[in-house]
Amino acid sequence: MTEQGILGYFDGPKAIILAARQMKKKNAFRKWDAFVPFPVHTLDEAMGIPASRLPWIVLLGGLSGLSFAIWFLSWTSAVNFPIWVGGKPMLSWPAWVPIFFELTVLLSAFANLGGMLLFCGLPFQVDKPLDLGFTDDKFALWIPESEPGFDAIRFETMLREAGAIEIRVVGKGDA
Amino acid sequence: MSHGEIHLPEGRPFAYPSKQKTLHLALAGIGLALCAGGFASDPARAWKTVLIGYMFVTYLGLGAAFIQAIQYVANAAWGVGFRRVTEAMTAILPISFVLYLPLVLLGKGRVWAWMDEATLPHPLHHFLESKHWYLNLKGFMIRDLVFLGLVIAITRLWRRWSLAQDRDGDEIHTVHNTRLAAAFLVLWAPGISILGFDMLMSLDFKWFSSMFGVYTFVGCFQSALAMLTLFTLWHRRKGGSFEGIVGENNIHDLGKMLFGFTVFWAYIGFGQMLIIWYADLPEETVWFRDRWDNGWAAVSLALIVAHFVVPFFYLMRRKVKRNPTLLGLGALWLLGAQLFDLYWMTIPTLNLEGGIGPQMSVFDLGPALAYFCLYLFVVQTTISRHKTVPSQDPRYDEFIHLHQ
Repeated sequence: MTEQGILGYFDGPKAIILAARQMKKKNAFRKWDAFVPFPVHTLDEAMGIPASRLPWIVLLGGLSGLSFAIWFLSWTSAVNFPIWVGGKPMLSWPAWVPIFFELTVLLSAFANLGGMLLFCGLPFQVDKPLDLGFTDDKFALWIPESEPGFDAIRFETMLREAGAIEIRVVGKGDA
Repeated sequence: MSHGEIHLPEGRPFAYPSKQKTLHLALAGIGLALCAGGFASDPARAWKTVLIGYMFVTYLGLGAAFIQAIQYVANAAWGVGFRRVTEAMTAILPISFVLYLPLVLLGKGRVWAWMDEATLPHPLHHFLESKHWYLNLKGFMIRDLVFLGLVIAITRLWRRWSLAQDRDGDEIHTVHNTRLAAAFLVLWAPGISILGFDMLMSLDFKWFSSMFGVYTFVGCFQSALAMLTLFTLWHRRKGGSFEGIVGENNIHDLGKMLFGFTVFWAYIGFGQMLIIWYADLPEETVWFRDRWDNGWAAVSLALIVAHFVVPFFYLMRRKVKRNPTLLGLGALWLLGAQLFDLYWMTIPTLNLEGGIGPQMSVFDLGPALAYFCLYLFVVQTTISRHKTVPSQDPRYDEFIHLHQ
């Protein structure tokens, strides 16, 4: 499936931030995106992209790591194969804290990676219109046809007014 | 782009408001009065609280030197704009150097029991015999004064070259300061550990822990960060010197450091406890015994809550770190936690054979209040002397345009 929509090219990171700010005021974009050759700080803020829900997934991953570690260590040391070590109680949790910590971090990291891939649709979603210049020196805002109230002419003018140096309409069969 | 085209904002000059100056000096006076009250009612306890106050403020100065060193070495731009604050925060160190002499020479055995062997109960002599090569007054004073003296010398050179750059804009000063910072860090690692061993660990000379140096370092660094945050927030208020210069991203960075070192404190504190708990040797566990029996258990648990649980969950949120009022409250809390930590390390050593309960009296805070208010006075006066922002620093442009 090839997405259709409009690409507006801008003359560098500053221009694209200013353009995003200006366009956001005129229309509450929900589906738009930006293509830039390197991370442009504050662009997400300028585009009004809401904060990611990823932290909640990471929290969930961390909590499951922690509870798994607590359960597993208690079960192995005190229930399944109890061994008396160093005169300590069976449930001597201070010795397990490093493992609690490590498993919390490990599952948080897995949840982080997995959640990021899921939200970005990676590694399967490769059908965005791609200009090879986006990996080199081109900066563009992308408004897909799925944008609510999509109107090619209106959005094209909006991009031009925001200082786009080039507009490309991506239709069926393009890209 | 040539230099002439860039117009970066300059910090407003700062005049120490006379009302605030009076307040600081008056509070310092009240602190001195409380301190005198402490000496009148319980001199043994008063000497320990003098040490608490001395270490609390000296650590605020030392920690600022370390913050500056890591900023130079890492070539960091995010802290350039408030470097004048860390420079001013180290201005207390010469006073600490001078005050060290009466503290050690007059306090002696009343602060560090081992310095006065004659009054030690006999069973304790045995512990001291094998440590004489390290724990002796001459070595104690030489180690600490050399460390303090070298830190003072380096911070003064940093300050001189930083101010010289204000006048001539020469980048060579940054190069010199960075090299000096690298040398400083080599001095710092053993120096701050030894200072912690001498001033705080040797209070209970029977006990030893190689983690203790790092433990005191965390308190030093984090409390200095909290103080830097408070000064920076105050100076960036409406009409302040940093208004429009120190942005939300900068204070967010300070908040992240405070948050990170809250975790580091718990890590080091727990690490120290864990190995001692695991080995379970009487000569090592005694230190935690003294902080568990006789009603200390609740205090020790309260310290964990105050120094880790509360600030950890409080500072975790992004909103808190980007809001000046909320971040300021967090920093203030952490300063209090550091004072609590010093109290927890120091007061149980009043009787090395145990049996001291965790009482608090209003006199306990006297020395800390007095020295802290003097510190505020010294820092604010130092900031008011020169340009409030090192705007000729080669990284100043990057600082002003700091992104996330």
